[in-house]
Amino acid sequence: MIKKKICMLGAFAVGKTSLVQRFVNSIFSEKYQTTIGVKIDQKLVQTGDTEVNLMLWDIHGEDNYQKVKPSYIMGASGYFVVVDVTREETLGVGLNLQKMANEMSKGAPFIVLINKTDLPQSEWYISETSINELKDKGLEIILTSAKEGTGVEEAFSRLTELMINK
Amino acid sequence: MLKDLPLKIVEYLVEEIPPYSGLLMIKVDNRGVVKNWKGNPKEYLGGKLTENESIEELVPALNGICPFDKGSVKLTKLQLKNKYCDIHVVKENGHYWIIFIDQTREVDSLKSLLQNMNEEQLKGRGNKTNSKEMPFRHLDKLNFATFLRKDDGSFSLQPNTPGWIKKHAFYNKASGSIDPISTFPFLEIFILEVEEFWKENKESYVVSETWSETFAGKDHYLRAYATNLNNSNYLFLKSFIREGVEEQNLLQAFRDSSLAFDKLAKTEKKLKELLVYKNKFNSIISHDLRAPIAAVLGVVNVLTTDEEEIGKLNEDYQELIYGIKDEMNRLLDYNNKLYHWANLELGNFKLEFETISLDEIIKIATETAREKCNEKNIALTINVEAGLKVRVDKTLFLQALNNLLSNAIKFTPISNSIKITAKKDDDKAFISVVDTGIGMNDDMVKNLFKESTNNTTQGTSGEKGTGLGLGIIKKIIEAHKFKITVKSVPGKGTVFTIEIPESNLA
Repeated sequence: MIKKKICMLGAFAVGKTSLVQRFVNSIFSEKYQTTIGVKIDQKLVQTGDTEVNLMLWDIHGEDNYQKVKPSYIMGASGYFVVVDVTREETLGVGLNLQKMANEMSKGAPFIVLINKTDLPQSEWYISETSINELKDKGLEIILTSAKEGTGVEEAFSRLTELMINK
Repeated sequence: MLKDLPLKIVEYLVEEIPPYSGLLMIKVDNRGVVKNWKGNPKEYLGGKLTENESIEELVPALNGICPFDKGSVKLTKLQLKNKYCDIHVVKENGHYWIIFIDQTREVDSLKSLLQNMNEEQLKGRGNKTNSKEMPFRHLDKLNFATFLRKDDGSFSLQPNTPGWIKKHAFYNKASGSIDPISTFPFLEIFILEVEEFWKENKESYVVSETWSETFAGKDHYLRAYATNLNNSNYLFLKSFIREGVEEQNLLQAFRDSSLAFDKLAKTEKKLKELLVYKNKFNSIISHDLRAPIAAVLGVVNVLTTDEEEIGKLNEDYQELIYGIKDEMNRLLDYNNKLYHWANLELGNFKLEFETISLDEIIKIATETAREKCNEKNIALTINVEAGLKVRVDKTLFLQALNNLLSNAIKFTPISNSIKITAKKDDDKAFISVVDTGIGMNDDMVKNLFKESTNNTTQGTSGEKGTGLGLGIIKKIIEAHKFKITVKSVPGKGTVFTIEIPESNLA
């Protein structure tokens, strides 16, 4: 069985823990619970004939009080950069973390998850134009909602596929 | 407790003092005189704290350390009246924050550990074999699980195992063992760093970041440590549920505040956009209404000034025409104020300063007000110091004076008086509009310049207002960087004073 380490990166309160909990345990909680350090979960997935044990490193959110340590990313086969669609600044934080992760993981595949898309479009601060601009720059983007489960399975399957085929 | 602290101090707390435990923070000046505090002094110092007390008298341990300008100070595990504390001194904006960090619990746990070790040493004096074979045998009391790295690279869990690790599903009760690396995936990465450290054989230790695991129905916050002693390599795991939860709660509070602040900022931004939209709308509408109002007024003026024409109408119709004229004048005034208000709000104006004599500008303003004064038989007196010249935007400043005078007339009863004075005092000029009107109570004065049209009050002769007049005055005065103050006594009258700084005197 193949083991792959996936890191969840992003600003605080973007929904990293919720995405992992939705994927691993199919649950969602409205209550925001800040993550201290890193929490590791595992999930077995099947990709074609290959069984993969995903080690999900749910890393604390980045802000002025907690900076993500590069050592957390060491050994990662892939990672998600999670962004809150209602908080514009989380995109900048996410993209900065991506630069660091790219160096530490030696170019491991990653996907940008634009999360909380269940919220009304009137509250979206990341416009479709910005999303398309990111896509034009070659970033793979998936719109997700940990609350409703939208895009979550797809995101993890796609990243697993990218990691296996690398 | 934390919400009123300066950002630098909050950052210091988060960076330097995790995990969070009880705190007392005292702000002092550089001589150690108490200025302010957060937290419960009684809990730490055993008594009350008062402003201007000397911190050296309160905390003898700080004797000789004041003044603090020698640099930052950190004292550890000091026994105060009721607690053991670490004391940090942090400089912030010319003052010093003395932070007392409660370490009582840590000291208590260390005490029992030291007690055990000392007792053991006293009992087995001269026989050191045991301590050499099991050098870390007491660390379980601090919640550490100790692993010895064997030659084959595997890890053996040392005796005196803390309870928390025995509850893990991977713990083998029969053999009393657990493999830390396969049990805790976090260590797969940390161990690479540790192997490098062990190779260097330094007399030091390395510490991992915090991670959390859920087992036995509990969230455990864990940290790993590694060291070497007597050519043996040791790995330690420590679970700290309570401290982890406290640290989480502290961060949670900061982040919740930060999220709430973001929401407020977004709402404020939206509201500002709506306000701009509203002001633009008002500006356009009031601008476009000017022409039809002026057209109707023009016709009415023709009618009322042509005595022959108006004489053809009977008295009722004449009264109707004069009524229309009054109402149209009021509408025009209202509309003009709305137009000025909207443009002032939008910032659609640029001050064009010119030097003008105060005597002249006050004269123009009083000429406009004279007619209304006559209608109410109000005596208007002017007292302007000769030779005073100011640099103002004549149009806007005149509008402010007009509004002040209109306001005074509105609230001054028939046959009373209004005085307008201007004088220089201490390099500043002061223009005062003094009425002998109905006056205002303190609450009314406090809310006078608030931007609300709900605050309109009818004048002494039933005059209606827009509620915009004083707001316009305030905008104009602020745009000039002048000051306006109000003094009022109910039943006696009100004094509005505009203060013009030296820089605007010519």
